[in-house]
Amino acid sequence: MSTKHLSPEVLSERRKKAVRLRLDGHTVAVASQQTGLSAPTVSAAWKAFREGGWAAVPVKPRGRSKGQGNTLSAAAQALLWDGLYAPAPRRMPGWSSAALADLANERLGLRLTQRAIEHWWETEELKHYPWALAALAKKRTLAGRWFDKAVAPAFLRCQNAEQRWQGGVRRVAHAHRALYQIYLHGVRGKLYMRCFEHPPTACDYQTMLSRLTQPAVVVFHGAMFSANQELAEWLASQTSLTVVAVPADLGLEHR
Amino acid sequence: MTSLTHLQRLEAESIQIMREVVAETENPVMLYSVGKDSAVMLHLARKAFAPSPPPFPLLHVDTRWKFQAMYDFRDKMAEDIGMDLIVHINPEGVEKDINPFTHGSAIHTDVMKTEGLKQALDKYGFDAAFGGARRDEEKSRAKERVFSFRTAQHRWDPKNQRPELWKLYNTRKHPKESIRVFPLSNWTELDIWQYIHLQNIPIVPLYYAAERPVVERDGALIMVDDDRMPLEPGEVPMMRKVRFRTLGCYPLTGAVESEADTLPAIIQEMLLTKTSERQGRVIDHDSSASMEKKKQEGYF
Amino acid sequence: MSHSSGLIAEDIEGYLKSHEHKGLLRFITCGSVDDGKSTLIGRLLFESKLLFEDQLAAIEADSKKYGTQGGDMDFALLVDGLAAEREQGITIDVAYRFFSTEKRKFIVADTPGHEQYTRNMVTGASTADAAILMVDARHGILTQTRRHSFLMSLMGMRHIIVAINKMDLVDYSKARYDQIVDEYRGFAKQLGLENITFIPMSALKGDNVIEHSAKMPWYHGTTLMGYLETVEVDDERLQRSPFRMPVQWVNRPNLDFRGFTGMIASGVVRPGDQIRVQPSGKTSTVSRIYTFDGDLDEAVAGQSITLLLDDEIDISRGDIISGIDQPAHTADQFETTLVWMHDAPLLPGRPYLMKLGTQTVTATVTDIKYQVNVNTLEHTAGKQLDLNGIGVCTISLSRAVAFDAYKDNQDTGGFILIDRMTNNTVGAGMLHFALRRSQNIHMQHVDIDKQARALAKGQKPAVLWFTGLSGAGKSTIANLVEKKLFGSGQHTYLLDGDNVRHGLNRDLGFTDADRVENVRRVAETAKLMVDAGLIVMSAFISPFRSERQLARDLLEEGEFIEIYVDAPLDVVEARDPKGLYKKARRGELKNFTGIDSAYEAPQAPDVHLKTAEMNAEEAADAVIDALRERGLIS
Repeated sequence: MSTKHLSPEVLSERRKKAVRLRLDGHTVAVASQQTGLSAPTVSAAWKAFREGGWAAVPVKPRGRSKGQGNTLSAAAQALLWDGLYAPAPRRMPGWSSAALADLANERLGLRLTQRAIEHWWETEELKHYPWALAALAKKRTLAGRWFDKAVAPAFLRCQNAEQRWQGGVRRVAHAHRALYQIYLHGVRGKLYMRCFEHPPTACDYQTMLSRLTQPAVVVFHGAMFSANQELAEWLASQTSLTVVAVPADLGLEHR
Repeated sequence: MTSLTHLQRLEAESIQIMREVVAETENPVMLYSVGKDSAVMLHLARKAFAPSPPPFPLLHVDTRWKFQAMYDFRDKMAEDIGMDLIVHINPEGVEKDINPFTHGSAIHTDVMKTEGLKQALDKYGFDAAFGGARRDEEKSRAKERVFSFRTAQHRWDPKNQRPELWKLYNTRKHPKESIRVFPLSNWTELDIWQYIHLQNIPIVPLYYAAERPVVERDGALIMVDDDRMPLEPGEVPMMRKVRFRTLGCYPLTGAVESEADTLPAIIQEMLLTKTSERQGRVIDHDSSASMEKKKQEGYF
Repeated sequence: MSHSSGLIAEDIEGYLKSHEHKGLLRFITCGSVDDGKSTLIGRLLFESKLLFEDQLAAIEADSKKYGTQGGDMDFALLVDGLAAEREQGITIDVAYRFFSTEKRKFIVADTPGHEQYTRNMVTGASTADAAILMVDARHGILTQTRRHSFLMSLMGMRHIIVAINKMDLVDYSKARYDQIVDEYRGFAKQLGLENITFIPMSALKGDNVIEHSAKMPWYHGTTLMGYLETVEVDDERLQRSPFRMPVQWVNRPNLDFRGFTGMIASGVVRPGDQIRVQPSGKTSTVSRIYTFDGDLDEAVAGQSITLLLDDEIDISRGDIISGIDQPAHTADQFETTLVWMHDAPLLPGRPYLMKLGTQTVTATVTDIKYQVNVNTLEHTAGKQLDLNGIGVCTISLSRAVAFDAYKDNQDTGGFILIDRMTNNTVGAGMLHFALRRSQNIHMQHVDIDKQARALAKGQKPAVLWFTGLSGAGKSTIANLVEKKLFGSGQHTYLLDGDNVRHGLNRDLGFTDADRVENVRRVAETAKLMVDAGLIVMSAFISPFRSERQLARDLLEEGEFIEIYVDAPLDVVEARDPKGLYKKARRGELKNFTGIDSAYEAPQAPDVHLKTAEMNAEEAADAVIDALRERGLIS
């Protein structure tokens, strides 16, 4: 019964119907049931009618029309892309929206909000939503059993939220670019990323991982570190850094 | 009046062809490549000769570089059906360690597959071999007969093939000559998939999309099936959801990114996407009209 | 019409379900390169949208390179094949193309239209349910059209579409279309063709191929695709015909199961039906219809099944199982129409193999009653049929076979002829009716001579004359050669000291005069055997050149092969297999060749075997190779 996604036209029609039912003497509950609107919405529509008549019942369309959103200029976008394909600022495992905003400010004098950059990420298919890992604990599914066996023990060693990372590597199907992306989520799901024109190399992964403050645990999807001998050896030598590979086809759900 | 569907007719035709071969040749064999066409051909053979198991062995000319999943599947199928499985590996190829990396796809295929097949046929004296080739696979196959005659040296002479009328097949041959028989000649790729779907024929899991470790080589996605795959310095394979439209030697077979992890999804993808089946195989790019050349040389 | 992307994308399961019940139509296209046949097929393939993008890309590129439409999309290029032909721009042989729509799967037999490819067209038509005859609207009915129509009627084609193409080049004129239709109808009556549909179209522009043409509002008939998707195939008629199943293979996995496998050629069968086996005539009842998927309650024409019967009667491959009330007939002499398919002409009196259904018998054409000119339909007399020749002939078989007239059943009335020596399929034929024994069928008057006997044996007779010192290996090698020739079906005989010296030549010694007489007798005997059609080997020392020449002169050019089994004296003396050299050295044997009697080595032998350098097996192979080179064996 979610009415969140109804168009303003449909919503308005239902509100008017709710008012007509109330005029016929039906209760809020009945009107709610008949129109599919929630009781508060029915009441609000009824109140609007009592105060302003029929004209006050329909809703005004919300939000900006298509094409009116605050889009970034071509120059800004070009800069952001250049940044993403270049190494992240020192000590950071990847570019955060804040870091990119700083870059825009430095180079072009632009004041871009983090939010604007994150919206831009969405339009360019760069956004990634973190997985609901903690929710897997004790579940009787394949993912749950993996979590208990492989992730939970590592999490025990890193109790602090700042020490727990998740991320992965993927190819993004972009219309104009060869785009491979390493994404990382830190505390509260904060997203860091870095883009590449070719699949990232062992060096790229190592750089990223070494910038994580240790001790740390990283649940990582999409790369077969074990196939690269040097990387595997380096990982083995990092006593306070644990990488837990997400098994193929596990089907993790996003938060 | 009963109407037969197109798949029922195709099925009946293939069965009729197989029975003719068994009735009129001395020592037939079924080439088994573990792919989807082989799976259909094997299923048809079971139908043709039931309740007996088919009266010929399966022959897999192994190049040693097939996907591990294919080997597992092959062994299980042979066991389940109860047929003899002959696996032939070119011994010279083993001695010289012929492989696609050191020697390139042309030589690897030539030695391990083409020569290997000739050796196996000679060794066991097979005078007829079933193959899963279809006429719609490639231009040069449109004119291929169902029964294709090969010389004692396994060569195919385009000027020496026989007309096939009605349902009559002339199987007479001289000693040392052999016949290649293609019971799937009139089946298209779509027919094959539809049949697999309707008959629930098991196929190698590689046809279904799953996350697999792949690297990129010349624009193709190659799966890292085992540790023999040489990696570039610093290269780390990515786990990507891919599937294979055609199966062969893993270093020579490209995967495609796909979400199709069920049979209807595969068919759907196949119908909506438009890249020819053989595009995935690196061999065909080696030279134009290459399939025809290969046929003349004795490669299927 | 074509596979709708919408349904595929949204509801693949629904789409698959709707495609499970498609039928199958096979059709042939008759026409030449010039009247747009390839363009038409290319368009059908293209429109059904099952082409793959890389094929499309390749065609676009090739349209610029090889195309005939000035760089525009040339659909015809989709249908050309083998590497050799691309440059010529003409297709040869029978190519099979595939496409499907929601209604049906289609198999298109594409054959060249030129007269020299009559055999191809006949081949392609043999499996087709319908035929599209291409006519160029500008040129109308041509000789080619008549020829193709005749061939289709010959092959018993039941559905004809006359595609009057290139209407765009005659301004879409109704008058022109009517003119062509009238002319064709008149002609078709002669041939007895029924079920003819005329469609005016432009394959290039697309008019009336898939979509109804706006340019021809006067035409209310079906489009080509509409016709192809709905034309009734022969199912109903075949299912109402008498039950026929040629037995392919007997399936006996154990003592309890005896199944007769085959594809039903016509009719319907159910468990409990009574059947008759031909040619034996024995009867029984069907107990089960077995298939891998379970027993059937009913099976119809076109299905491949396994029949089990109530009784243990003798049935083997080649027999036909029929319904008890309308069994197939049996006979061993027929009137037929033959289409000759090979370069080497049909020779009446020569035995061939006939394959009819699952039966293979020896067959001889006893008479060519007349030949038919494919273009004019005139009857002419003829003593032989050449490649692509069509003749009405009588055929005599070595034993009786079960059959139906071709017009009633193509699978029990259509046959191929196979050359026994080369194994090629040399002819295709249709049985019309059996001849009663009382009718006078004599073998066409044929002289029984060397050629006739040789033909009957299927080989070219010759004398292989092995000459060389005693112990050189003549007999050994000759024996091996004989074994090899026998193994490939040749008829041979070996004359050597063993079978001649103690019989025919018992009275001869080893003086020079006796040696000459020995060779003369052997040569004359070999000549008689060659006349009988045999390949004769003789293994005698035959030391004198003039005597070997005498033997050569007795035979015809190419029939005498002199084989010099060359081993130096010291080698043969060392071998001395019979101990004769020792005896000769001791003086116990007089006149022994090599010791006290001369051996005149051949100066230009046809085959020179250096036995010091090769073993007997290799020597025998060398002889076989030489025979092959000379065309004496294949």
